[in-house]
Amino acid sequence: MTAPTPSVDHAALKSGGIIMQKDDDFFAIRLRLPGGCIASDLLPKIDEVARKYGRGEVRLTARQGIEIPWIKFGEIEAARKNLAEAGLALGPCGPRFRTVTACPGLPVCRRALADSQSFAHRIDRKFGGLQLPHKFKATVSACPNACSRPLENEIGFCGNAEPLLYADACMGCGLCVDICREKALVLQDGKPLLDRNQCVHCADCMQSCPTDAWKTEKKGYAVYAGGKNGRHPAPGEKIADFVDEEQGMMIIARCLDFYRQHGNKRERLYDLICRVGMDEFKAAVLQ
Amino acid sequence: MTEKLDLRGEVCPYTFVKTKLRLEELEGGQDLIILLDDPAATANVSRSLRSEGHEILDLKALSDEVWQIVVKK
Repeated sequence: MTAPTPSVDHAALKSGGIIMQKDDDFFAIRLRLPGGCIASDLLPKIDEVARKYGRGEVRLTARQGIEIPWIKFGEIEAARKNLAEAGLALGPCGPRFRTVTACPGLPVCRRALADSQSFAHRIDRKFGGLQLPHKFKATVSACPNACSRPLENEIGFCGNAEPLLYADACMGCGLCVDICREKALVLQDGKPLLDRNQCVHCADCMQSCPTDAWKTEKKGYAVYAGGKNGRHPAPGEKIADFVDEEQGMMIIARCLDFYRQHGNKRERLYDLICRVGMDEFKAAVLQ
Repeated sequence: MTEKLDLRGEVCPYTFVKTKLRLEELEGGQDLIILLDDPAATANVSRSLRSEGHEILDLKALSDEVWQIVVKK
C-alpha cells in the first residue's frame, strides 16, 4: 500500500523558502526576517517547529535569516502553517527579491546616521519576494562603515551626512582632525578645514565635536548598484548620494523595471549592467 | 581642588565607566581633569559626559599622545 500523497500548497512552495537538502527526502525552511530582527517571544515557536518537524536544529544564514533543516517532505505544509499562525513567513529563495538585510542602525548603534532597520522593513514589504530574472539582494547600512555590506548587494544603501562647520562655535581643539580617518581635515588658523574630495560623509567629525560646531549640511543615503558576492564577486558602484527613503524606493522600483525589461533569465544585475553599460542603466534608474 | 583622572592605557568602555564612577564621588560644581591617550576615546567620553548633563570646560591635545578633558559636574 502506498502512503497517501501529502497535501502541499504549491503556490506557497513556489514562492520560495523551502530548500531541498542533499538528501532529497529532507528540506530546510527559511524564515523571512528582514534586518535579521525577530521578536524574542517568537523564538519558542521556532524551537517548537524545529523539534516537532526537524531535528531540533536551527541555522543562522549568511543573510541574517534563520533556517530550520531536516523537515520531511510530507511535513513541510504542517510546519509552514505552524509558523504562519505565529506570524512567521517564509523567506524568498531562487530568482526573487531576497529578504532585505540591515545593520542595527538608529537608535541602537552609536555610529548610525539612519534608521536602517525601518527602511529595510519598508523595502522588504514593498519588493520582497518579487520574481525577477535572477536573485536580487538589497541591504541598508546606517553609515559609511557599511556593516551590512552594501557594495556586495544588487542595491545597497549607506546612510551618510555632509558636515558644515559653524566656525563661531568651534573652539579649535582639533579633536575632529585627529578623529577623521580619511585625513579630510587639517587645522588652518586654529580651525578645521574640510577637503570635500576626501570626505566619505561618516559624520565622525560631527559626533566627536565637544561644542557641536559641525552641523549636518545634508544627509540621506548613498546608493550602490550592481554588487554581488559568490564565485565571481564584484563591488557595486555608487549611483546616487544623499537620497531620502522616497527617492530610494523610486530608484529600486525603476531598477527592477529595467532588470525585468532587459535582463536575461539567470543574468545577475551586475552582468546586465556590464552588457548594456552603466550609463544606460543610470539614465533609466535615475531619470 | 581639581580632581584628576588618568585614563591613559584604558580602552572603551572602561574609559567611560571609570569616568562615571569618579564623577559620582564628586560634589556638584566640582571640576575633573581627565587624561586620555586616544582621540576616539576622548570623543566618546566627552559625548557621554555631555549627554549626562555635565559641562565640558575645555578639551585639548596636550601632545600627540595625550588628550585632556576638563569637565564640571
